Amino acid sequence: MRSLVFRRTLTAIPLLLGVATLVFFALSLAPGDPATLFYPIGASPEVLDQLRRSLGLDDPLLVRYFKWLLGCLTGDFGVSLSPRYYQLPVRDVILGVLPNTLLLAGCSLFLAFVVGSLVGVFQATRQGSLIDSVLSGCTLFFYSVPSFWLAVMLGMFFSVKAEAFWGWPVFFPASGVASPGADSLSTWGQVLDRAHHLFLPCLTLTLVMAGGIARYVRTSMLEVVRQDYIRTARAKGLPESRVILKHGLRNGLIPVVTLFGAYFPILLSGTVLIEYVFTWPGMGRLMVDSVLARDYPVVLGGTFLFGAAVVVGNLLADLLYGVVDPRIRDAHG
Amino acid sequence: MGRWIGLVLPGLPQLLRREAFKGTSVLLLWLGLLVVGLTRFDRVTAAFDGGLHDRVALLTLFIGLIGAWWWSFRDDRSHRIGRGEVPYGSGAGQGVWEAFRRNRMAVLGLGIILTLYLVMLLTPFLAPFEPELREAYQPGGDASRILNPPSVRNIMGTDQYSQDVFSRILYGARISLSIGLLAVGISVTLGGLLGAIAGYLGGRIDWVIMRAVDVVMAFPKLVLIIVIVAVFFPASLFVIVVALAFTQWPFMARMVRGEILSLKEREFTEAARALGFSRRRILFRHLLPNAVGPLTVVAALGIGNAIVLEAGLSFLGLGVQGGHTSWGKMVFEGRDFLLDEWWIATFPGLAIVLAVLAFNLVGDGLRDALDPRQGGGAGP
Repeated sequence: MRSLVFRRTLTAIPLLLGVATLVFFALSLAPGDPATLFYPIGASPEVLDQLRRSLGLDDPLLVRYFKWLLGCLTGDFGVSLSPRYYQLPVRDVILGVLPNTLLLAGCSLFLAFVVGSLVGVFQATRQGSLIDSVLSGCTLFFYSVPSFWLAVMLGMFFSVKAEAFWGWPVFFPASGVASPGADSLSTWGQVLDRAHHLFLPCLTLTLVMAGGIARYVRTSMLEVVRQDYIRTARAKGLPESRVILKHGLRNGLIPVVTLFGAYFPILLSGTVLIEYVFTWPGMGRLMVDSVLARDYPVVLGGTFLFGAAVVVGNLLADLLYGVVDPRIRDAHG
Repeated sequence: MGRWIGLVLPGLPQLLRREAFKGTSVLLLWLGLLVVGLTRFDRVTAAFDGGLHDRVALLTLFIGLIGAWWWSFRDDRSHRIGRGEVPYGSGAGQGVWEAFRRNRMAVLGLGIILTLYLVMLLTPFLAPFEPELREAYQPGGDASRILNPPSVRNIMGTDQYSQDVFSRILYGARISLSIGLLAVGISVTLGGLLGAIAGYLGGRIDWVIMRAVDVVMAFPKLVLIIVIVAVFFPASLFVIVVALAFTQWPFMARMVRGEILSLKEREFTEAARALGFSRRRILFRHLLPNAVGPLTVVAALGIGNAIVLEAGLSFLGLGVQGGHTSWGKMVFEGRDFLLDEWWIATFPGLAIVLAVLAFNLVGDGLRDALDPRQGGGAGP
């Protein structure tokens, strides 16, 4: 097991290097001079030159590249060029919004796997029934629906309409992470307020991902139910619930661990759009705002972080697979 | 007399043979095109001198009308001669088609896709209004045309500029549907070629290509596309298509490489090598054609994915710049009117769902048809 961890970690390092390289050279192609973003048109050339020197923009490309690689190691991605975060280090800008994204992504990922697995297993135990068909239709819908449109629709029902017509029993806020004046609430009040704001973004992401996961789990479980050891378990007279829960579930859910790696990038793509819809101040919203403001250092740092997150997520999924499936672990020694 | 019955009405011979599905689809297609041509006769005649889109629509109409007739006649004739239903095609492909045809949902998906693309091509004849017609703002215009709910006149309502939502959805299909097709066309070609080379040659070339695949796949697709669009900011159609293709090719490459690796060990490759065929000939004539099946599955799912990504990009305001309308942009514009004017954001979104759903159904159907052992279900 230890050698598996070691070898997989080793393969992740060149990948991270590749990610950093691709991001750097993609954005070095960007036209325009970042220095001119800082100062209004008509600033004197001396001032611009000085700024370029202080930002390190006058270095040759290769020097900047190695500086950037070194920066990736130390977490120093330069300073923001946007007037909003005037010359604030990119690291601080990102660290300021990262907790919000982690909260949203973490909750959604966890809930999506729980809900998706439950629905998939439930469908597999009732294959061919009416409820199976209905659920298949639902999962196919959520698998195909664009997340931002679902977000807009859920926002319409649970927020806009619910707020306008008090007859609706539920109202959830559709923007921000906390109510104005939430600081004055007690600790529990603040937690509840945060959860209240989290509900709609989290629900959207969960639904979008759970559709695909449920479809995968259903197929995987149906495959398992056909295996000989399930027939053996039934033949020795075990009750059906025990056959499914003890023999079926453990083997049917193993492939779900590999899905974790595959869904990580989908989750992060989803957060970009969902954060934009619900004005959730996280990484995704920061990325979109920075692109529109041409704040390249923040885009650079953010993109690298997204890539690195996927690499690490895949690494974790690989290792987790080795933990739950002894065959993989033994095969790699 | 009997053999000429196909010339009377398309689909009639098939219906008489009790092939209800075939017959009704051809008949409905033909009648639909005829109705469009007759009710919109003024636009059809005007299209002769119109722009590119008008002429394409005209061509589609005529090819559709004559093609349905011709197909019906030919199908009937080949049936009478006794060559069976499909007068051409190799054994393996035909088996896949038979399996695909038995899957009702997949056939439904294929029908939706063909209808959507046909509607896209015929848009100049079908759309009740011009997409940018702002009636309330015309001289002497009617101010009450703004934000109308769905009615007989505007079946999906009007937006804040009194533009007809249904017409805009029809015109928006051009961007949304063609971008998906173009992007996947490029990525299938590029990714398929690179994957085939990597799998067949192996060694250092394989290593380099697959590391590139790993690096590109390490990014969430939307993030990578946003970065590419940021570099070329006011993004043209070309940039968006290339950006979408750039995020898709690794999936194609990885799939084709896997296929080639297993096909390489099969006896027929051995035989081709023993016959002294060149490596290029073995790769392009013997290996790649056998990898086409699985590639179609990835391509179908990829088109659906590209449509969603493009819509998301337009929604963020980073899509194709300029006057083009697209489904994602329409959802964005409708966001401000959710309280009372729900139709502006809802219908474009439903259009995206319909298109993506259809491609997913076809992709799943192809997968099941190619590999019946796997059972129905979706990958990630």
